[in-house]
Amino acid sequence: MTGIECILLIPFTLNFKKLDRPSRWACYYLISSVVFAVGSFAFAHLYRNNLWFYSIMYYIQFVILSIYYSLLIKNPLFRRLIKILPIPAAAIFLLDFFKLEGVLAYNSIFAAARTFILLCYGTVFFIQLLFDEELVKEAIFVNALPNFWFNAGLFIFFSCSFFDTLTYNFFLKHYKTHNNLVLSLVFLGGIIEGILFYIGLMKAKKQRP
Amino acid sequence: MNFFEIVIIGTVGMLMLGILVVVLVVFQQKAVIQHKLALRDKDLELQRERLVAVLQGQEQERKRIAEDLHDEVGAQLSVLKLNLGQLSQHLKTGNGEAERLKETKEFTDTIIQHLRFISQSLHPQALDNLGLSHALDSFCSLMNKNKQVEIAFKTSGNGHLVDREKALNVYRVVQELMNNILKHAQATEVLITYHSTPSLLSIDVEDNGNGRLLDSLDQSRRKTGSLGLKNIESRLNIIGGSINFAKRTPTGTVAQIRVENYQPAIG
Repeated sequence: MTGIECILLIPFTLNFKKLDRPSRWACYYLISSVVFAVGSFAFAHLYRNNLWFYSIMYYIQFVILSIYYSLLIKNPLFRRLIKILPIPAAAIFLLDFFKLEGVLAYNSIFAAARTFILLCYGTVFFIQLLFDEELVKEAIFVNALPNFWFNAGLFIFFSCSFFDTLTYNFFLKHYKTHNNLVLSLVFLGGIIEGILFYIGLMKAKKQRP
Repeated sequence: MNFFEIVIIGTVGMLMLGILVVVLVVFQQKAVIQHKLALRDKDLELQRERLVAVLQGQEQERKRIAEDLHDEVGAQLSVLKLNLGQLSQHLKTGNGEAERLKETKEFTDTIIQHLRFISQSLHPQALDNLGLSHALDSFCSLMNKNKQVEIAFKTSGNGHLVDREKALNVYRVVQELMNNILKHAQATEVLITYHSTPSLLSIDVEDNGNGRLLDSLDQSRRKTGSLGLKNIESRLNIIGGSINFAKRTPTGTVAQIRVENYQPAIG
């Protein structure tokens, strides 16, 4: 995310006990995003390069979100796949970090791969919600579920940051600058994500007043 | 188109796609649930119609049997009683035949009474001719003749007309309650209070028994093949009525039957 999530941390912390297990992992993702934002800022000022920190945080967030989705997705095959995927993802991360793009470069390969995988998880969860017989039987609309909103937030954010992650290193290498308009769009995605996370929290509060 | 523009368009496209997916999921799932709910409503309506048809068929069959018993078997027994009466006048010998004949005549009387009771229980003729209040009164009188329990009937209100189908269902509910009181409540007195206002029909059935009427109804509901409370609820559900059970002080149970808009439709 983009750092604005730290505002969300206050209501999330206050209502942490009302969150179910997967939602708590969404909250951990928020915490990691704040660490990501603060750390990036600090390392940029201290060492003039924070891109190595980006790569590490991307991987940590990928693990957190993998746990989040493994708790949400009911299909045993997908669950197993989600639990296994952090291992090959770690291999790509290490390869990109040490060999392909380097420690001091933005690791586009790993970042794009992780974003794509997370988009797939989000899609699987949406499909699961669409065909969930239990929800239909109980006449529960998806927009009443906190995790639907958390997933929607993540999905929108990853959708609009996908191109950014894919081309970030290319821009830095060839144009020595970054496309500000794309960054603004990613920021917009982040704001939408924050709003949707807040809606999700409200739904969680409604479920367990 | 340069590389910058491609990336911008791609990002905007992905953002739109993300939002579209979320919106589509919400609407699609809503549509699925609404469709399923509509199907469930239809299914419930069909079940209700089936239940009404079954109950109507049952009532028609009861009516037919009651009429057959009353008009044919009852009439034949009355002829038999008359013949026995005539026979006793011609009997000359004094070897105890007269007593035997008297006993047979009395026994025939008892059979006729039983037959009337069965016929009345199967289909209350008074309901068609005199209305619910009188039918319940007559039911109480009949029950008093045959059972140990003293059943009193009290009516208040100015005798508003009750829709035939609703009246029959309420009558059956009271009948079912009485059967259960006699079987399980160990009551010695029962009071049926009938009260009607233009919009609400209230019937209270009070007994001074052990207060286990509701338990017994509930138990019979759980038994396979036993109707009990389920039957009462189904009948009241069909006519839009309700039943409430409460403890009676000092002992017993009060069953309160309420039916709104019970009067026959005009036109």
